Amino acid sequence: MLELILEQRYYLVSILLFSIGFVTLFLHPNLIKKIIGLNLMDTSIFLFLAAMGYMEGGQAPMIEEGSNWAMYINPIPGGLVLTGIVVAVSTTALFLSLTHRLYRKYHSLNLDVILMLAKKGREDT
Amino acid sequence: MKTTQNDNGWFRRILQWASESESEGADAPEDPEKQEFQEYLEYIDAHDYIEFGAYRYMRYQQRKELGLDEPTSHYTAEPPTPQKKQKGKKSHHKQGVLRKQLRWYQVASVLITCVIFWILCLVVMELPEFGALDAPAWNEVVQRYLQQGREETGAVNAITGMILEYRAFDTFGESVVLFAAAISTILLLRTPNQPLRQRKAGDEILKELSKYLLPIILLFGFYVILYGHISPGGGFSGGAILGAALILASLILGAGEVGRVLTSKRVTYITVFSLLTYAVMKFYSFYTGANHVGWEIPKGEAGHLFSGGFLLPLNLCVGLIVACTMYTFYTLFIPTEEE
Repeated sequence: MLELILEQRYYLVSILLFSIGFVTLFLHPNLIKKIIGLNLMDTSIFLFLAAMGYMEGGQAPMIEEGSNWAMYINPIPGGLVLTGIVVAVSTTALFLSLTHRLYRKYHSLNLDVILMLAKKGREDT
Repeated sequence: MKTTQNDNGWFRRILQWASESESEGADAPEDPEKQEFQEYLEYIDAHDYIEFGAYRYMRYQQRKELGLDEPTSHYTAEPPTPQKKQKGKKSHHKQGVLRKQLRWYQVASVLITCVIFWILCLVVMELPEFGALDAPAWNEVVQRYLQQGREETGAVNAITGMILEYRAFDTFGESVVLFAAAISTILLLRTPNQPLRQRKAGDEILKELSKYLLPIILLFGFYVILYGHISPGGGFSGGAILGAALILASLILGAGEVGRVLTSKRVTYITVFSLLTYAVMKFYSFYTGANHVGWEIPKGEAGHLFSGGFLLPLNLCVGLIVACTMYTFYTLFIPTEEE
């Protein structure tokens, strides 16, 4: 059992990171911390994919002339992670800009306070 | 008082701060910001925790309802009357209704996360071992990419060959996602004719150092992009390095200096132009049935700079898109004059 856990340590760490991000989304009312939680979840997925691509004793896929194809690692997860990181950055920027707009209007980052003020504003009008 | 302080310089001010001289102590309570913060502390002692910004906004709303003062002056009004305070307290309790009525909210969320963690752990234990050679992901697709990739795409770097030849449509969509995110961030944050705050000119040492450092970083970014099909690297990573160099430049030299050369209009033009170039270069293969491999462009000899057909210009396009988007994100989050 312990051997198996040590063998799968990359997957387990990625799951741990995923859970931390997930519980952050639930428990923190602060919007910036929610975004940090989402980023943690992104990172855990990248770790998981990168670990999936590794082959025992594999090299980086810089293919040399006439070499055996089995000596390289799997290039597909590499490509997926590469593009995933860029999308994570752009979605984070989008979230942050939305949060910035909310802060300008309600002067708070606390989701509860924002919801209260929005509800109050709706009742007033 | 203020002018003498400025004349005396920072050392004198530190001494004054350390000894807490009489004049400072006498001035302090008249500072309206400090007074307001004191009231804020009393308020959260008496009621429940609430953020300072939200407190100020609440006070401001109350004063506006009472007609006490103009909306611009935050500090000098009377503290809210007890009744009003009571009302504020009530509404504050109302906002936490989810947390207060469902006391098990936090417990439940932790429990749900634990259950998900446990399920995922069980799944992971059933996966093929880390680095196993007989994993199902190691199938004929990978074999094809690794065996034929060098001849078919002319790229030494199998990942670049994969994402720009076999899966070029994916990468195009990826760049469009970046562009869409940049555009919507611009729409959300940009208000017309908002001048950027002129930062103070950076530190002398940093400026001198950046003269030697910035060209090297820019050169390295371009190297990573241009040699993306021969060595580790490519458009995405090189573009990130270029974007970081631009951000560093605008941090050290001031946003205005870099902004004069790279105006937001020009940055958007570069991004759109790169996207269109990418689309035009890949249009042929999209048109003929999305088989991006084996068309009549001379591949060149794998391992040389000008090889692999259109890989070099495609990498350049992706790199420029990424760099410009990074820089746009940075410029949009610089505080402007009004804030």
